Amino acid sequence: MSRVAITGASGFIGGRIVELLNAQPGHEMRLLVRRFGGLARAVRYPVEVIRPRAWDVAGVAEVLEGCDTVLHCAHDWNDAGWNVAFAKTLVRASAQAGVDAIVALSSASVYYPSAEPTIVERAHATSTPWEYAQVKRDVTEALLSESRAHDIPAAVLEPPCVYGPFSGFANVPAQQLRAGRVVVPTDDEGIAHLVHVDDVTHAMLAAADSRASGRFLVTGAQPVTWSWFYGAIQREIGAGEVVPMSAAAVDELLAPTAGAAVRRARTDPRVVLSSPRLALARNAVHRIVGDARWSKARAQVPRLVLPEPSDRLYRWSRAMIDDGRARSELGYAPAKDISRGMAELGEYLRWARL
Amino acid sequence: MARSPRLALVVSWRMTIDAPGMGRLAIVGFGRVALDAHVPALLACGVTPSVIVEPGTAQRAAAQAQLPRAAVFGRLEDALDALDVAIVAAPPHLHEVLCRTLLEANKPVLVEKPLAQSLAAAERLLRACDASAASLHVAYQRRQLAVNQWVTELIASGELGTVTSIDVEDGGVDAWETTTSSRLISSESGGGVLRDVGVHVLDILTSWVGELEALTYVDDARGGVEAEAEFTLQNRDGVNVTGRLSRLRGLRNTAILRFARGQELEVGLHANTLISTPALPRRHRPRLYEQQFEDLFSRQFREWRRALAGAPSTVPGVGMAVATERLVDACYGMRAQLRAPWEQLDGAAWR
Repeated sequence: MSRVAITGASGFIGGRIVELLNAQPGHEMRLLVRRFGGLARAVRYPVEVIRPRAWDVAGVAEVLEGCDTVLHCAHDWNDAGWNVAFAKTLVRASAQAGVDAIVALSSASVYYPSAEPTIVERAHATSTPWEYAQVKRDVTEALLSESRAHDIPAAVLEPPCVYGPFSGFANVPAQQLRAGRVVVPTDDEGIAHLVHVDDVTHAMLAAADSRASGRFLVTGAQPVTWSWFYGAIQREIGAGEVVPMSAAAVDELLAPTAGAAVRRARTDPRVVLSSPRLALARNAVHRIVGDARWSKARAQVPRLVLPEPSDRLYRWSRAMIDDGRARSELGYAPAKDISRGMAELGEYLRWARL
Repeated sequence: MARSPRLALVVSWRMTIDAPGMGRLAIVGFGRVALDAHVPALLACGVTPSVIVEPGTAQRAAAQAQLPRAAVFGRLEDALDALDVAIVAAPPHLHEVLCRTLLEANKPVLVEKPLAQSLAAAERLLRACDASAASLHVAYQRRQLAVNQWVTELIASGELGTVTSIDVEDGGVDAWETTTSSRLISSESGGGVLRDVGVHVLDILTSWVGELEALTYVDDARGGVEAEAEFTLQNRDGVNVTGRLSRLRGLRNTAILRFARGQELEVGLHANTLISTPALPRRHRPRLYEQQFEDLFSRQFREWRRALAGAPSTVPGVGMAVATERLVDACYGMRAQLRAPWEQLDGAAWR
């Protein structure tokens, strides 16, 4: 590679790509951006930052001119349609600009909920209730079909939970543990497939170098349990509690029924405290004790952090991930040991004051 | 339909497009800070800019939409005859040429911080100001925070004795959406967090304890602009200042001042907050109130108007801003590489 265009450099993985590419001599980086905010981490390095004059094929192709590789990490969480439309535009613009290879970042979430004991790369015949996963599926389909139509290699990487400094899998667990007691799967019901961001980044670069095409699952050296992962973060930040819970118990709490509401209230006093029916009484006490005492008292009532519906889909699963294709075709081998990765994460969490 | 007298009064006030006592006000550069801060603040003061200078087509349209009565120009040279005073809110690398053009035409200027993208450019602006009949002031809005002015007065009163040390932290995850990429490019911004937010912090510190000298400075730039910076400074009386700045993480956003009698005072840097204070006699107790971002710009504008009328003002002139730029330049001159803690880790085992 010599000149690499990167989308999504304001994000966690795009930001790490910039850091790792800078450490490898001979690369020039061009960041293709929609907005100029959130790029503080990436622009510490010598990069070009370009917003296309137009978001059509010609406008994007202008930005890609002279680039041999496109690393596509951008994802718009608020505009599902943009993701798919831009994937098509990006492939067409890459073909027009003479780009040699496109590597896009997707997610293993596209395979959940999984009825199979082992997840392997495949297309999807049915839709998923998980909106994020559905968008990633649609983007992958768009990228691969457009790349075939325009005869340009396009690889789509599908990592599971990508962790490392600045990741959501560091920030969110820390924030949840600071809030109180976090519900995770019991060890016999859920597997945490964690992969370090450096391993994902190296896989993307390997896919670009080999001009690979198609889907590639990439995961870490060994899976762990969710209680181990959250427990490790809990020890680092010295706050919170990890509450292993079976899928059946979680479903009982999450059900949209009056009985479930009562059960949630029993397990989480915050539910009662936050009830709109108690607003008058709550406000009266708040006024009497004052802001400082009120905040302090609220902080002392630990919240029970229940999983989001999407968490429920993939965390309470024992499906294994087979990344054999990436290993054989890309030479992928995860290098970051989980212990080392978590030690880095601990340093990051303290530094970030999370 | 006949207008009621009250309505007529409102309409006539709204139609006042000059800044009273200042003449025709121009905003030069209509990016994010003009759109979100200067214009709302001016409108809150009852002043509507009469001239906008902006080369970008999209931003000119935004200016026209927000200020339909203003004359909009693409080049400053074309607008000089239509303006009397100007607020320059263009990207930092354009400050020098825009301010010089205005000063040479004897038009008073309030320029957004940083004064310029380099010390050399800042010093050239100082000389241009000296040669002009017009003044050049710099928009360090945090000077307008009531808490900063209270700290200045408290230190000057000697009530707590002399200051022995100060520790400052200013940082948050940066998501400031600018309309150009200038802030992200070293050649245009002249630096990262130090020259951007850091100049506010250095200006406040200087206003509290006088001129400061840089002792150490580290940042995390690796060919681009820094997102993290740490410094130690000292004034001529031996007051030690330590500081951390960040665009990547939430920091305290406070200053902790320690006094010779062992007392400690912690105040907010972004808002009028008093985190901790020793017991103070009634005459030194602060009267703090809420000031929104826009309020700081409104107060800054009123203070600038006072300065132009020859009255004492809290808006610093170019001389003070050049002193801050010298400190920034000294920091960059002794720059050493800052590495994140996890980058320094080598084979440490998970505990």
